[in-house]
Order: sequence, then structure tokens, then C-alpha cells
Amino acid sequence: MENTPLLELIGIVKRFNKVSVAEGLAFSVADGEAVGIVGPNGAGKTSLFGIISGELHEDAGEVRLGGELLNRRDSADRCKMGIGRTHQVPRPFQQMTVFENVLVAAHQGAGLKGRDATDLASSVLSDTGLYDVANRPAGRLGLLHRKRLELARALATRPRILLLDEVAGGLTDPEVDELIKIVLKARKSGVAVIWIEHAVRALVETVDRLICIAGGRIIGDGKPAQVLAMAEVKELFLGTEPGEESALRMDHYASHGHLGDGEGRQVSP
Amino acid sequence: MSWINALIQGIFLGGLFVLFAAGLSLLFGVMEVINLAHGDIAVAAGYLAVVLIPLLHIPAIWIFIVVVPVFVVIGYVMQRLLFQPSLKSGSLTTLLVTFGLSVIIENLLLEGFSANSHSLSIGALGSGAFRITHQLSISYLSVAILLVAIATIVIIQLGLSRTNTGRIIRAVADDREAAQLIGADYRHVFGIAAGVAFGTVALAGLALSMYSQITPSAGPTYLIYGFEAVVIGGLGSLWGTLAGGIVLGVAATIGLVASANFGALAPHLVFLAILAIRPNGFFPKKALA
Repeated sequence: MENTPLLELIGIVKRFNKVSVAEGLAFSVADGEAVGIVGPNGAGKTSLFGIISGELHEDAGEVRLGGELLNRRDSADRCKMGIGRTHQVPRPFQQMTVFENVLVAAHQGAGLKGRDATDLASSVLSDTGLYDVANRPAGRLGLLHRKRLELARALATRPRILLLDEVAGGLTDPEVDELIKIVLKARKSGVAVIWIEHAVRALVETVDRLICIAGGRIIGDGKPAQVLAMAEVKELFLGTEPGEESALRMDHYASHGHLGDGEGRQVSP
Repeated sequence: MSWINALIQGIFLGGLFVLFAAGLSLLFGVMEVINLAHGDIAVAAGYLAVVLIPLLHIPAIWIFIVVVPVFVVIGYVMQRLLFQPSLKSGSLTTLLVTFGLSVIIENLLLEGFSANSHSLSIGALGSGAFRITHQLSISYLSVAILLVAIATIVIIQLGLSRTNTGRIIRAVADDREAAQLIGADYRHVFGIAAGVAFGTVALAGLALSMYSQITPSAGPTYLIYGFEAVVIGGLGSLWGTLAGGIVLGVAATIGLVASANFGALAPHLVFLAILAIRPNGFFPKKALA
């Protein structure tokens, strides 16, 4: 079965009371492919990750990894099968050092023991630029390092597909550049990526394909430039909710091809 | 002299309280389960020893080699089958489940062994003592119990901070969902923690039945000492638990010197006093570390 996609979503439906976050969502991701996901707040992007990683249960539909049905597997199983995810608000194990955070992931997620696990943890730490803070308790890291640790921990589980939820959110442009390098490096090693991000620039520089989701439906799927140029996508990001930074930024990028400066910093709780 | 004697005896009595408290501290620190059956489980371990010693023909002092592993397995199984399902419905359910378990164990023991007290005779080790002065002597058993208690705390602490299993337990205790996302099966991890907790409480039960006597209803008394040790030490802090147990032991023996009836009350008063001054205990902590 050479044509089996790595990840496949079929007719995913998910509603919270009356709010629908997925209305028959369907798409697939090939081995090694990188897909960006954009959409207004509340479009169901993060819920989609929850459904793929097993934190949320879909009301209907199927999730498959390498052809295998995931619906009845819990998130620990799915991680071992090759799904790695990060959270928008980083969730490091606060009392543990940066190294321990990554080591646990190498043990549990990648199933490595002893020397192999410490080796993987060290190499992930140097890849993600965390080597210098390896022995610091994760609870005392700043936002940039927390975001990187979130990514490092997911990488240490040796995922086949990496789900990135706004890892660049709240970072400055140079910091985003560094992050892009890390993601590109992971891609080079063959990991597929789905990346939700408001900072469209990061996506355009990393992904092969862009999917735009709104109201639980896919309204655009294709090459990033094509999707950003679509009338429906543009309309969605033009003056929907007033003061929505991402909408402005996205439109800015679509029409001018570059980003304005003055990014707000997100304060982590 | 009698005060110094009381102080020293208290430190050693504290060892027993520490053994009772270690498992409570761990269960609470890892999964926020308050195990009301903790004392009864200890007593049940004592009774298991009472049954097994004549059957296996091994010296009473070595019975822990059999009893502790049995309780580790019981702990794991109970976590998976009983505590885990109740955790989903909130902490009150867990409290009720462990309370029910306490009642069941007590009544089963009453049915099987009557209300008479039992104890484990360990021969010379039980009666012998180090004579420091002609007024001050410390029994071998007291010394052994304190050493076992300290070793238990140190081993759990080192296990948590240095081993892979320990790191996973800490990760799960910190953020269960995030731990699952890196592949940790938290139910298995909880099971391991419960196994360790049951193993330590089995030690406490054996120590109690060697040190004094057990009756089917002795559990709750020691549960309270265990709780107080955990709380004044600081929830989730194992070093705090060690300190807390020793403080309670000293309070009990010094209280006894002051008045024969005061021995049982003094630790509770000290507990209340410490709670009033330091509501979060000696070593307040957010999670295990």
C-alpha cells in the first residue's frame, strides 16, 4: 500500500453544545509533508489537534495513521505510534529540569532505554538550542525557552508527524526565524508537520501546503500562495472581528508579501 | 533525665509514624488520592504476617520479604481496578471508596481474627536494647524501625529524582495530560505509585505488630498519625513527612512523661499548633520533586 497517506482524517464531526468545531472535516497528510493550518479564532484548529492526538473525542469520523484506525486509542498510544504534539500554552513539567523533560519523552514516547534515551535527549536539546539551559528547572524558563522545550519534548518522542500549535506565537521575528530553522531541520529528518500558526510568514517559509479552516470546514487547501490569494480566505481575514491582530497580519501578508513589525508578546500564565 | 529519655524514645517512635505517612504522602503527591483505608491496609499486612509466619517457617523478622511484595501487587491491582475508576468521578468519590474499603477490611479482619490483639514475636531483637546509660536504653527494634523509615524515605526520594520510573511518576503528577502526550500511560504509572505506597504501608503494619499489638480496629488511629505527619511536613514533601513523623513521635513520648493520659493527645495538639503557625507545613511544595 504505497499510497496510504501518513495521516488521514475522514468526515470528522465535533460539536461543543451548539458550536461546531468540525463539520465533516477531511484531509490527509503524506509522509514527510508539511501542512500549515490557518483560520480565525474559534475555527476549530486546536480542537482538530485534540482529535488527532486523542485528547478530544470526535462525535463522528475516522482518524487513521498509516492506515491504522486511531479512534479507540488513547493519547499515550497515539504518541507511541508516532504522533507528537505541542500546546499553544507550553506545558512543561515544571519541577523537572529541561533535560529531564526531554528524557522522559525519549523514554516513554520513543521507547528508548539507557544510553539511547540520553543520547536522543541530548541531540534534541542541541537541535532546539536548549543545551545551555538543560539543567534548569523547566518552571523557571522564559517564554522563548518554554516554546522550544514544548517542541523539543515532542521531537524526543520520535514522531512521524509533528503537530505544532502556535509555537511561534508571542515570539519576536528573530526568535521566529530560529524556530523556523528548528522545524525545517526536523522536516529534513523526514518528520511530517502540521502547523497551526497566526504568524503566516512562519508557515509560508516552512510548509508545502496551506489549509484554511473556518466554522469547522475547510475553505481553502493548496499551495500557500494560492490559498492566501483565494477570495473566501481573504474575506475571512478582512475585518471579521475588530482588533484581531492575526487577521490584519494575514491580510497584510497576502496582499504585500511581507509582515509589518510590532508583534505583541504573549504573557504566559 | 526522663525528659531526655522521652525525647530520644520519641524520635524512634517517630520512625513508626513516618512509615505510616510515607505511602499517604506518595499517594497524595502523585494522584491526589487521600487513602482513608491506609491504616487498615497496614493492619491487614500485620495479620497476613501472623498467618504466614507459622506456615512458612521463617523468622518473623524476615516476613517482610514475602508480605511487602504481596502488598505492592495488591496496591497496583487496587489502583487499576478500584481507585482509578473512582478518580474519574472526583475526589469525594475516591474518599468514599477508600472509606468503604476501610470498613470492609476492618470487618473482614474482625470476622477472621476476632477482636483479640495479635503481635509478631521477634525474639531477642524485640526485647534487647542498646544501653546508653543506666537510665537510657533504646531497643534494637526501635532503632531498626527508624532506620527502615529513613531508608524508605531516602529510597523513594532517590527513586523519584534519579530513576526513569521516578521521572515518569513526577511527570504524571505534574501534568497528567501532557505526560500522556509524550507516551506515558498514566494509569500504569499511578499503579506503580500505589504499589510503592502499599509496600511502605505493609512495612508500617509489620513494624507496628512487632513494636506493639494490632487489633482489627487499630488502623484509623495510625491513619491519623500518618495524616498529621504528612500535613505538618508539607503535602507532597517526603522530607517534610520524615520531619513531621518524628515531631509527632516526640510529642507523644514527652506528653506521656507529662501525664499518663496526655501521651495520646499531645501529638494532636502539636499538630493543631503547627497547623495554626504554618498552615502549609514545614516544607510546602506544589508537587513532588
